[in-house]
Amino acid sequence: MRLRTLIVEDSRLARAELRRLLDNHPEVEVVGEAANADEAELFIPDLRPDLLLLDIQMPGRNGFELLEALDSVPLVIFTTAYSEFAVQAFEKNALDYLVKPVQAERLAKALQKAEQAASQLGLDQPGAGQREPREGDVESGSGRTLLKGTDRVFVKDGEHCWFVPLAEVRLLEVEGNYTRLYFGTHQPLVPKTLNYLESRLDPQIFFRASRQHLVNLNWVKDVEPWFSGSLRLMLRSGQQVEVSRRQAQRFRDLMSL
Amino acid sequence: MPELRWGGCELANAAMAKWINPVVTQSGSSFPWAFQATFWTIWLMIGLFFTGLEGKLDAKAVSQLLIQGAANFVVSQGFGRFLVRQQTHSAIRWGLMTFGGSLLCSVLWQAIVTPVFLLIWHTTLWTHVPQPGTDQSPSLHIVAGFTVGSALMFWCWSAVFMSMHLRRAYQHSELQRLQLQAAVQAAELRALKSQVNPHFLFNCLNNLRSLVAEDPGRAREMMLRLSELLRYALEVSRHERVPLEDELAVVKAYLELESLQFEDRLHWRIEATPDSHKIQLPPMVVQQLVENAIKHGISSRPQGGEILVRARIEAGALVVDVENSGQLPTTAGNGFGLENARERLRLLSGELARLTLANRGQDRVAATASIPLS
Repeated sequence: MRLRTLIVEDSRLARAELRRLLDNHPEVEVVGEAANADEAELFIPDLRPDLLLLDIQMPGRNGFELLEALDSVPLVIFTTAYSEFAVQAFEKNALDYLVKPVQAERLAKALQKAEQAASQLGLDQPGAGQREPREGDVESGSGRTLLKGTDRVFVKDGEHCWFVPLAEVRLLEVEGNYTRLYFGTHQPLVPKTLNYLESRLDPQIFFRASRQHLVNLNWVKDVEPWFSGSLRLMLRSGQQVEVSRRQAQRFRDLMSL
Repeated sequence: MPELRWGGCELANAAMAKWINPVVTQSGSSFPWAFQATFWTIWLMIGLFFTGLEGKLDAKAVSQLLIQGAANFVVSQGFGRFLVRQQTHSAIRWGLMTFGGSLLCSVLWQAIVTPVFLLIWHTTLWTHVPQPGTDQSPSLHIVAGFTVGSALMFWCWSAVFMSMHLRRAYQHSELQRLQLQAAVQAAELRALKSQVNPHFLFNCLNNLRSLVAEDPGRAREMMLRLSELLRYALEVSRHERVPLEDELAVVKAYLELESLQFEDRLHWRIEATPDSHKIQLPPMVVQQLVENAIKHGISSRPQGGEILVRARIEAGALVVDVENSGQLPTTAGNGFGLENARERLRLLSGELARLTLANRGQDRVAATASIPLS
């Protein structure tokens, strides 16, 4: 398998240098280069890279802001000219980060980690690399592939950042124009509306319980009848979510399938 | 930085200087006591040993030795204090001082010990060893012998005292020198770090690395530019003022290096009227304005922009104008990252120096520094 890689980096010389370094890695296929976050955001849905080599400091939006804007993030190796606090806080969560000028050995190590992560995520399965819709993929109305449990989202809350597989997100909750994500012991906000997220998520997994909540059905432990035809879901985390009367019928239909 | 160029000679001088410095003496005040105790205990042991050899080790001899030892201690204590307070670098004077001091000590010592001996044993120092065939009255040459003998003892003491004291002072000054050197280097590094943005530096090195493969000739040229910039930033604390042409040469090197990063996103021009070239100004002032212009006018804008540096003499002041693409954010204060530059300019060029920041037209921001001609 080859890691389809997109280089996101504002300096042309720096991009050329990365390409030269990647020439020694036949496991990496550079599918494109982007000079800023806008270009990258444009290229990613078409190129569907497995891996981003992403510069943190870029004109306009920075690397973090790009990731936040993506529905589903590929594997990411950050590059930075100067390691600073933001990167330190991030270290345990990110796949890896490289300081520029990049050392060949450090790059090799980071790519090795990326390969391991890729095989864990099943990207090395035949037909993966997301070049074409996989079997079993569900197309949304807009023709874009819906996100599945193995897809990961990037969440940033203050100094903390996470790459979260959707399977680990048990609940999404409206918070104005933002959405609060519940996973593990964290509940950060993401700058997207719940309606938008609902349209991007696989309805077989994420069920709109009410105007307030989108529930990951794989996390439901118990269902109880609640007032006047509504239902109450007990999640494995101990949280309780009410299903509105209108949605309760849809829930019964879905479960009976 | 004379600290870094100190050779052995200056070191010895410095040691001497530290040694005679009362502050240093005070900080090592535990030293004379330990030394005194050790030296005079050994003296006492030797005295007891030889008295024992002569078979005269009785209570009287021991107490006499103890009294002499106590007198040695008291006199040498004063002698030591006198020695460490002397402010001279001349070896001859040191020799004279220890020699004369030793003789004086000897007399003083006898002046202390003799009355005590007379009071207790009705005998003097120079008569307690009875000479066969003589009476108890002292003869002059015995008195002189005693004086010279004890003077020699004090001289010997002062030699040991001084050598130990000098060694301590030397170590102390060496430690101070190393601390000073470390502090100077740390300060220089801090200066470099505050003058050269690490993002710029590492991006620059990365671009240079790539350029080596692409265009080795240009890469070699650009390494010179980087050296120029680093040297200037490193030495900035050594000059209060530099000619404008030097500052602009460095600004040019900096912009050439930034062009590696931004390529066609960065356009720049430097213009200075000939009469402004030799005008003196605090170093890094224009450079800071240009860095600021890069930060706000180029690096944050995906489409890039233009930077214009203009210098001229106007109404008795050097006016340097740094213009960049963009507009001031309406919400931000008037600082926009220039507080430091403003403060530095004020400190180094006086209250009449001005630094202003304003929009110029619809798509330009200009920072203008005005420095009165001195």
